[in-house]
Amino acid sequence: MPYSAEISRANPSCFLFLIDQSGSMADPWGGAQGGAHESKAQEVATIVNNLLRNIVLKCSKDEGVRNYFDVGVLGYCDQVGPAFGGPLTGRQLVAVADLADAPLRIETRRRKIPDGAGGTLEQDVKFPVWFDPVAHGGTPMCQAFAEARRVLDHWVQTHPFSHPPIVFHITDGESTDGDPSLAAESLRGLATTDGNLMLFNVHISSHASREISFPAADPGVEDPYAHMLYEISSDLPDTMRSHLQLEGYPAAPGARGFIFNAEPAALVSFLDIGTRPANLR
Amino acid sequence: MPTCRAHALPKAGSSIREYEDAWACQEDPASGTWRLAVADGATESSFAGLWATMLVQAYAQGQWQPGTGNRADLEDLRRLWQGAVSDRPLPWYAEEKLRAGAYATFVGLEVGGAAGGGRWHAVAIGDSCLFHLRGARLVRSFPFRAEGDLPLRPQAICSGLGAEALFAETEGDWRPGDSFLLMSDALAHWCLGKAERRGRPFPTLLRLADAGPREFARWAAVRRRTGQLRNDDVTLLALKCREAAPWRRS
Repeated sequence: MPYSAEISRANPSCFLFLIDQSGSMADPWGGAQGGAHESKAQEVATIVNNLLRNIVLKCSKDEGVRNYFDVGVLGYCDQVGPAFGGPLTGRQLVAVADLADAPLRIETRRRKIPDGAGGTLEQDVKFPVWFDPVAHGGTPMCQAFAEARRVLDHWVQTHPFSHPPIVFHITDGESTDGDPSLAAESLRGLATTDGNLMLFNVHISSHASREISFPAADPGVEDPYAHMLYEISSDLPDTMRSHLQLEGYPAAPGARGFIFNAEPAALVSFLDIGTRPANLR
Repeated sequence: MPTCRAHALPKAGSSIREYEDAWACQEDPASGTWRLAVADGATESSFAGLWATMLVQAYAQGQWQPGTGNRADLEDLRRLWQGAVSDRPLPWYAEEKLRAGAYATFVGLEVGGAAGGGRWHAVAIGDSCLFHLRGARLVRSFPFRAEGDLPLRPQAICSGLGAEALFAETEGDWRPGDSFLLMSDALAHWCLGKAERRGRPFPTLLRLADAGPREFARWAAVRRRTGQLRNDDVTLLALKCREAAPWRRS
């Protein structure tokens, strides 16, 4: 059965973030409800930092962080390249334990968290920051997919039996070097024995709209780039849909890895590295 | 008197120090009651093996009686866990994991009575399972009857103060010659699946319960390799109530 390979330290999987850092990302984010919002670049930084934090926490155990995943971040604006800063500068893929120990800084933020008895309470939580917002230059999306393919082609060759890589592409959709559909198809064509690479598109739009997560049909939103990003997103296998449904997403049969103006922090929970209790949030 | 045997195996590729299931079995000499338990610490939480160990030991020693509404005992255990893990400076991710608490599924069994039989009572939360056998025939499985009933994400006991823990409870009669098998979820999946396919898992498990650790490890390794047994920590705890021998020491 595809997408069933055990994720372990001997057979890690891989996350690659592909981040649009172009000038248009300085525009205000439309958000789910409209009204005044921070910039799209700020929203992207929040999403990426949250996802990286959740990946590290998923792998954190008594003795430290277990390397269940390799993680990389490619940014694209004037050029395409590794976007890690600090001690990870210039590195394309790093083991998650290295990521855990190398944020740019650790902030303390106030968050609502479950109190374990059905309610919530506010607590200060440690919030590592690996990325600050960036917004300048063009949007070479085709080049970005090609570079992602180059990086991950090597990874799948060296991990032929692993769960295939997952690419999170976070963008406002305005490609400036042509239609990226073919480059995306080529990227999705990479495969291990466990299945094809999965491409998730997280669309951060200037258009205010309802949040859309994992639609099973073209969501038909006003943003002209949403259709293209939906079309190039991977179909979700049944195992992932089951996990996402337990997280509260509809994820109907035929659902795709496409998210519009929504915060996908819970995304990493769909990969199985062992028992995840129903009441762990 | 009954005999109690256990097997414990870490995931293939992990060391025994990384084993996060736990088991305990103890006879109360005053009443002749046996109390035994298996717990499975959740991979996605930290210090879950310690939490699982604390739960089964407290249960087997009669210090904690889940399902009776006596919440104070569980809160005492939670305070003990927090005292054991929060006495050192930690990196940000370990601090955050500790804040979320440790989680463990649990099944506990209390068997009382005399030479001719008696009553048993069990509690469970999550997908650690109990099988009551008469000879090699299944009398009752608890808390699940079919492999498909085992949840993708089980409920578990959280080490966080005040967290809710809703236990399933059941009870029944036992006779001399009966056995009880307690196990964590990977083996329960194999067992229920095999039984559904008319594969007679119980004679195998009753035999393995008395086998040495190497034989059990070889048996599990073959089934892991062939995809019959999920690669997870495996625990089997068996209590066999003998036919002829007296239930209690004279």
